[in-house]
Amino acid sequence: MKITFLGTGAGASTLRAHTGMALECPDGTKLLLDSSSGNSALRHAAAVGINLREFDDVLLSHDHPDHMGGIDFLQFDRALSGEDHGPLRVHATYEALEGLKRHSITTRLNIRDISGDFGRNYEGRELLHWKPAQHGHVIELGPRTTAWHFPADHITGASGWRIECDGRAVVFSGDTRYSLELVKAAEGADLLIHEAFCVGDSVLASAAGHSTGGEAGKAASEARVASLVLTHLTDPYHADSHLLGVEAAQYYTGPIAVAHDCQQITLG
Amino acid sequence: MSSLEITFLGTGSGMSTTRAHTAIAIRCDDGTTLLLDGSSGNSALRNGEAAGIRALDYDHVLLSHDHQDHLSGLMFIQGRRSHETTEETPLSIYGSAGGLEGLRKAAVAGRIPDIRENAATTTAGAR
Repeated sequence: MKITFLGTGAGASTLRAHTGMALECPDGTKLLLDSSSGNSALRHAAAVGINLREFDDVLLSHDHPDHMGGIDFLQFDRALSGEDHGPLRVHATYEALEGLKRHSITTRLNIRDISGDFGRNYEGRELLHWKPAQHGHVIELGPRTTAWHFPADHITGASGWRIECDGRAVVFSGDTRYSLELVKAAEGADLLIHEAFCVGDSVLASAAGHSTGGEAGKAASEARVASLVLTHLTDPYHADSHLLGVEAAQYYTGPIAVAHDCQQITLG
Repeated sequence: MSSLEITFLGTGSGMSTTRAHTAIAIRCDDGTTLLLDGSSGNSALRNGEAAGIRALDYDHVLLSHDHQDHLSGLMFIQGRRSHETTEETPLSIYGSAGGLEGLRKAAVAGRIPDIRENAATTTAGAR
């Protein structure tokens, strides 16, 4: 399982692309976790030789523009490629999908109709496939790749995702405060990708709907995951990103890394 | 001799997968800093930061039209401004009536008022 970090910045970041990841599974399944914003995901994918037109599924954590904004340009790029790509499937909670639909019809980037199961252009061509994720339901994304979501403590409809293939599991926190739901969902995962907003001040992090590096470490420890990667960084921790990892290490003794844009990690 | 310093923050068309979408910063001799279009995502912010131009430096935005590759970056520039200061620093944006209406709709859909990282008072929370 190969993970490429297409963006590792929080919403106000001026130094990193907004959060998004590409997952390539051993059974050939390719999927995105969030989409960054603008064309950042497309550009960073191109920089590392990944063609995002081959990615048919997006697992969306929530409908904030720094996480979903890139979907505009992903579907635009697919639609104008001249190749016969089907609609881009977006898996998210009902609330997050409604937010994405409102965004898509307002921004009018190709999407003129959001009724029913699809976002369509003016010709009626299906470009986005709305895939409401049901609580407790396991989604089959490929021959041996499955995913399911769990509630995140951020905004209404926010979630994290657990993806499994060939006995390996990757969990993405989405944006969240420290969450017991996440601890349960991440149990025994090979890799937990957890957001980290700051160090020390859990009140500040919680007020913003986020976690400290220490809380990410605590979640990793309680879930007994095999490794932890921190992402969704704010500017003060761009250059001193190790501080987040140092705080996480106070709670978690496994391997810890802080992601940077275009970084690639292979499991197994 | 007066001078204008022009910084290309993004030079890609809407379909580009190798360049940031279009935005240009112009620094004038009288201290005025203009932004021509806003690119998309946080690309104008990132490339501006790399060139020493901060979100709060912009005095005015001149918007060419309301396509997403030209305007969607403005919401993150506005968000960054309100992140950096609690003072009122509205971004003045000049554009055609149609362009501004498109931007207004996108701003509402993007829930711009709660883009601040510490804006916990709104129901939508932070990002």
